[in-house]
Amino acid sequence: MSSMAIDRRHFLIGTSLTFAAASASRAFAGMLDDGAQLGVDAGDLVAACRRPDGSYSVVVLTLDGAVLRELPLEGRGHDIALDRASGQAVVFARRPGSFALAFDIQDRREPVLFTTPANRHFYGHGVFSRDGRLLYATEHDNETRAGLIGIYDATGGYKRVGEMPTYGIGPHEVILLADGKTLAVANGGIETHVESGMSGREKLNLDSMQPSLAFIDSTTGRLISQHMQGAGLHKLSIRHLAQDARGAVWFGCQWEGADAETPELVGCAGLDQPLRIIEPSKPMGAALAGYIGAVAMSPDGRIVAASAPRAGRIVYVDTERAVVVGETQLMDSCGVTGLAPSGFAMSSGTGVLQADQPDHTHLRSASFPGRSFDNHLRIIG
Amino acid sequence: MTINRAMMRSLAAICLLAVVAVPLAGRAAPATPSFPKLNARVIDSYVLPRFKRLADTSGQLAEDMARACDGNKKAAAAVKQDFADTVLAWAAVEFLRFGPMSQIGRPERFDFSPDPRGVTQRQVGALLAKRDAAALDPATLAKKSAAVQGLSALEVLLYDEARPIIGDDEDARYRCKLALSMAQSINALAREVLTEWDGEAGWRRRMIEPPAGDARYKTPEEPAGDFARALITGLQMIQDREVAPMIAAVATPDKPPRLPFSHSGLTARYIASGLASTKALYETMGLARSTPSDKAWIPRWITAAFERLARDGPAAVEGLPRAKDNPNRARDLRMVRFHVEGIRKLVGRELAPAAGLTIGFNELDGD
Repeated sequence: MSSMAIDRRHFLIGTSLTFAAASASRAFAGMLDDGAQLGVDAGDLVAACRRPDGSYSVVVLTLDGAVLRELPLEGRGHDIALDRASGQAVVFARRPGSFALAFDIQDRREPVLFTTPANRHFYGHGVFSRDGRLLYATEHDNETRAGLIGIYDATGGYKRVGEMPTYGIGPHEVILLADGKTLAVANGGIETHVESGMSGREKLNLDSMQPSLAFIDSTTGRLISQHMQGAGLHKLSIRHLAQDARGAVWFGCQWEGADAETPELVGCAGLDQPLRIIEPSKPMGAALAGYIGAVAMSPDGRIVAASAPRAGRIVYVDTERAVVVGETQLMDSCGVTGLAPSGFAMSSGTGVLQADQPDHTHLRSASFPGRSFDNHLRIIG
Repeated sequence: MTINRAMMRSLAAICLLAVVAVPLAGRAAPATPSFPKLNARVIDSYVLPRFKRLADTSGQLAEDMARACDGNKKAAAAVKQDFADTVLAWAAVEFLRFGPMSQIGRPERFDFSPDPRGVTQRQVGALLAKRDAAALDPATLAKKSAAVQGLSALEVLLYDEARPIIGDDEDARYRCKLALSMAQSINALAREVLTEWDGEAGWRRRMIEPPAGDARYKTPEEPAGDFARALITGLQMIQDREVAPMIAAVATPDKPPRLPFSHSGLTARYIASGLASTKALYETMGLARSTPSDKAWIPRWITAAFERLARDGPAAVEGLPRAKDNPNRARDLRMVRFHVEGIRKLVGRELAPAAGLTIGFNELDGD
């Protein structure tokens, strides 16, 4: 691991935006009352979004339609890492953004904006260590184009304290397994590069991409095991992860090959178990438009939900039987998170927040007019 | 209302459509519309008249409130009708969160809703308890909490039968002046919105054909996409905030739902106004003209659904549903939901894409 210094440009951006975020948080409080805020409870939700005026923010929401907190972001956000014990949250810039905003769910502390080093960018995901002291974030090395996990000190203003390889290209979601030590990283396999005239999202290696699921010791950076996609599936990018009650890691994929050849998109693996794509009784890959935008586990660890925004569907898979047991239809739905006791909450690009159970029971939904929720949704425990 | 066979066939068609979700690419389809023309049509003949109406109704409300507080009994008698007119005008525009209404906090100042934690009641109560003189100036009130300056806040004052705003005691005088301040604040906000549509740099120009370098829109297709999103969102709001809670209330009559403007008895008319406005937006956009020939049943179905909602919807949503009072209410409400959801899905999944409009956010350049 190595330490690093934040260059002046990043420092200045960070400083100004930290103030902006803090003042906006206060402004929201002022919109409701002089200094008073609505309390955030377990079961409330947090997501990045695009606001009606086209700007971006991260919001804390309720399933009955209230916005409890809102902090503006300089660009489009993606996923949120939560440390439930401390109430800290970090929203990451969507790739190839380089900012992240740490904030207290209950607004007890000033938000902290931090950035990657100049030659890195985030991939939109990260996870706290079990003790909440460190934050691991997937990153891109713009020189070597290798995948990295940047390590940040959550107790020290999110200073970057080191990094380690992900053993692949284009890492996306990283999760901490139930052992509290092992990181699972979805190496999407797609090479991108940030330079003048490019968005940093152009896919440069689709013919040779090699996605993998890597298990890494978070304390040493050592590769514990790694599973590659099998023959014929090297264009099946592994992007999002969730662990079930028995320890298996479930993943959702995005197909980069021809539409007519779209394979199935959801599978599971273990440290010692290779990637296994589940095969529903009726093929679903093409009907899901070859694209899973997020996965989430039910609170009991038995059902994994995989969202397919291009098809407007969320499918539920019984992890013990590896079969699809239900689905929800929601236009442009992507964010999904487990909701006690056995359901899921989901968000959409048309500003809908919805709660359903896999058995087709619709619990409730709320509209947030003019907002578009980004790809991920997290429940506050 | 009854579920007839044609309706069952339509339901089956929508379900099939939703499951298959076949992309339209590659099919013969009419040319996409001229977006600047579509945008001008929507803004000039749909959006602006409705915001003008909101400014007019709230202006009348403020005027009558002022005279009522000065002791004019005729004006006092007119205030509740003015309030109803303003609420219904608001229902017609509340889901239009583009242009001036995209400004953060502005819609909430018109009406802080939904308010599941009862902030409006609590904060208006606190103002009354303090008799806060500063709140009597509408410009100052506008800078206070969004929950004490909008239509729901005004409803708290106008429909408190135990403490009417017209009276000789100091409390009544304060309440009347506060209600006046709220009405003036709402009217000022409505006029501010109208002003921002106007002029060379106004939203009307920007949204008809966005100038190069515009901060919000790059192409004329983007405002048109916002109109389609507003239509979908408007229908979703009616479903989530009004129809679904009513359906739930049938099963749990001991737990009355929070419904907009229930204290003033305007809920059903509020829903009807919102539905009528979504219908007008749909018709003004002319999405049916871009429908491919093999999908001609879709605009026909939507037109019939809107007509059904206009005809039978108001009775279905009138009053708080009680299963024991009317065994048909749950079924009638489900019929409203069925049509609202059907229109929303067909516009979002079929008509808007066929017209070349982008609705999605996550489905685009994914991650």
